[in-house]
Amino acid sequence: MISSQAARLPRRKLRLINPRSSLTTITMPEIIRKMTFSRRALFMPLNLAICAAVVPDGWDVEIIDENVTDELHRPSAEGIAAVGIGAMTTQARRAYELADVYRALGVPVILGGIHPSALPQEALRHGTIVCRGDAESTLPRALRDLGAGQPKAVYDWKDGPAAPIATPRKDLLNPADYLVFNPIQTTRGCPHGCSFCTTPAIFGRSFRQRDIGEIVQEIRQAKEQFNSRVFIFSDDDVAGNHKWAMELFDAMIPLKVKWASQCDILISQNDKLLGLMRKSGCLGVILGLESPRSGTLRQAGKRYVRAEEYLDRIARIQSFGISIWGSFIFGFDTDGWADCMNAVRFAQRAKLCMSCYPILTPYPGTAVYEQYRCQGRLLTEDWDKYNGSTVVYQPARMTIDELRHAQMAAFHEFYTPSSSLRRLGLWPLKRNSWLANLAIYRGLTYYYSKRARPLPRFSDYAACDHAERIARSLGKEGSR
Amino acid sequence: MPDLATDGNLNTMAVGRTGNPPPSLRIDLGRACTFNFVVVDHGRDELAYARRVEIAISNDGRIFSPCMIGPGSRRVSNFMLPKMALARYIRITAIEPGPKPWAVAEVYLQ
Repeated sequence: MISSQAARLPRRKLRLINPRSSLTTITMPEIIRKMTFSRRALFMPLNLAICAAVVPDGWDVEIIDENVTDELHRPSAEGIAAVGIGAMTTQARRAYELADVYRALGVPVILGGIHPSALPQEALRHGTIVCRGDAESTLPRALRDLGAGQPKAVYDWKDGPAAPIATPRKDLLNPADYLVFNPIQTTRGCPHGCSFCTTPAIFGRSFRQRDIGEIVQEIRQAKEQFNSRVFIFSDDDVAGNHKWAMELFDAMIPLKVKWASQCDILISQNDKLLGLMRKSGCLGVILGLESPRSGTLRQAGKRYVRAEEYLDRIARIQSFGISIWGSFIFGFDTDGWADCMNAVRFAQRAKLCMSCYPILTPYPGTAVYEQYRCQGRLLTEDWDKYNGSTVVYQPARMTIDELRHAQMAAFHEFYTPSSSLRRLGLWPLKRNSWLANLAIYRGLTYYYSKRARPLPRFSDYAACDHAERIARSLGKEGSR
Repeated sequence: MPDLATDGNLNTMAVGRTGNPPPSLRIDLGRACTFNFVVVDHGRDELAYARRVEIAISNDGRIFSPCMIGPGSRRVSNFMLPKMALARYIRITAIEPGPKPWAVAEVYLQ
């Protein structure tokens, strides 16, 4: 009876688009393809696969990912009832471009994702509907209302009942295009509220966990269907709830898989949790350390840990055979170049297997964005440049060039072979970490030698001609 | 209750009354200290910030000279003084109220 009714209803088609990201250009597609065994992108668009899973009955879905095609998508209204576009801040410009064209073609456009959630009024200048927050709670309502011809302008996830985290529809994507085709989302949100982070800014601090049975089922299916053995949990904090995380890791032990994810450093105080992480196949975790200075952590509203405890906590996690990839942010108001250098020295001392050094980016919706906007320190609202490697605000204690140079010097000095040797040692051989470290160093030296620029070093700052050295390294010699 | 803003406990907060004069917090550092960065943590209520804040310093606790006026922000308000200050007393005044009554869980000087 139900199926015959459904057959009578006219079917509509929703086209979901992942806009080309300026990050793809920064990381240079040709290098990405070499490093990822000819894959076109690192991660599959999990957000759209989740959207596809929650569309109501009567809707068909297709996904277009501009990051895996040579040509940009050419909008066409044929056979399409609506278009959904998900956008992080770096994708916002392209998302708006697409939305404008589709609206001109008479197709309603639904905008969602971090950026439209943070700036719904801006997004509404381009899209017909904005979905704020979780798609599970907003997209089905938006599509039902659209189908009934009475859509609202904004659907906020806080206005409706909370919906469980959905299992993504991966059948709409080509696995050969992505290095990581099976990212698994186990949780959403973050229990902490750091002032630079978009997660608490958009989703509040409500921390939600997915049904453990569904997660195990998704992993099992990926193992059978795609022969996946290593998984990335694409969470902000996979172990944000220790009790739940222990239940999950316990349930994963029989699956015999390897996994890595991001979490907070508080896992170090729970040996039982660390033991279960290791037993369930945890290879490593990304920790947002931000800075080895407590003053900087206070300024960033990162209250749950003191920097003085970092070394002990890191050693505790490493003692369980779990590798650590640290993330340090450069450019807080108290940061000078020496603080950036100290972060690298700290990462070396802590024997982190990998480390990254993004420049502080005041993403819309965050407290840092509001603060810099009030202070008149935002240099641009060209969202393409909100990518972690461009300075988009006026730093307090460094010039823009000094900050950019500090980031590159950090990458260079952390990944030199001698630094890798001190951190990784030779035995037991950490093959994957060594390969990654050498590949990053090779990529950096190739980049600078190709452009005939000197490699950046922190010692440049102490030189009498430091401004010239920094300019030469940044390729700005001629412009001075 | 200014002590609650300097007790090292983020769960206890000094809450300012709204109205005139605007709520302010005066802290005696015990001796003259140098600092040029003031962090005001608003504790568990992220919206308990003031839209505009004045930072003033004094050596005798009676005559305060303003150092700067700047915007507050959610969760943590950061103020970088235009130059290094040497003072025993600091006064933080919420000169323009925010969305909720001003609350200070902790003040850090750097």
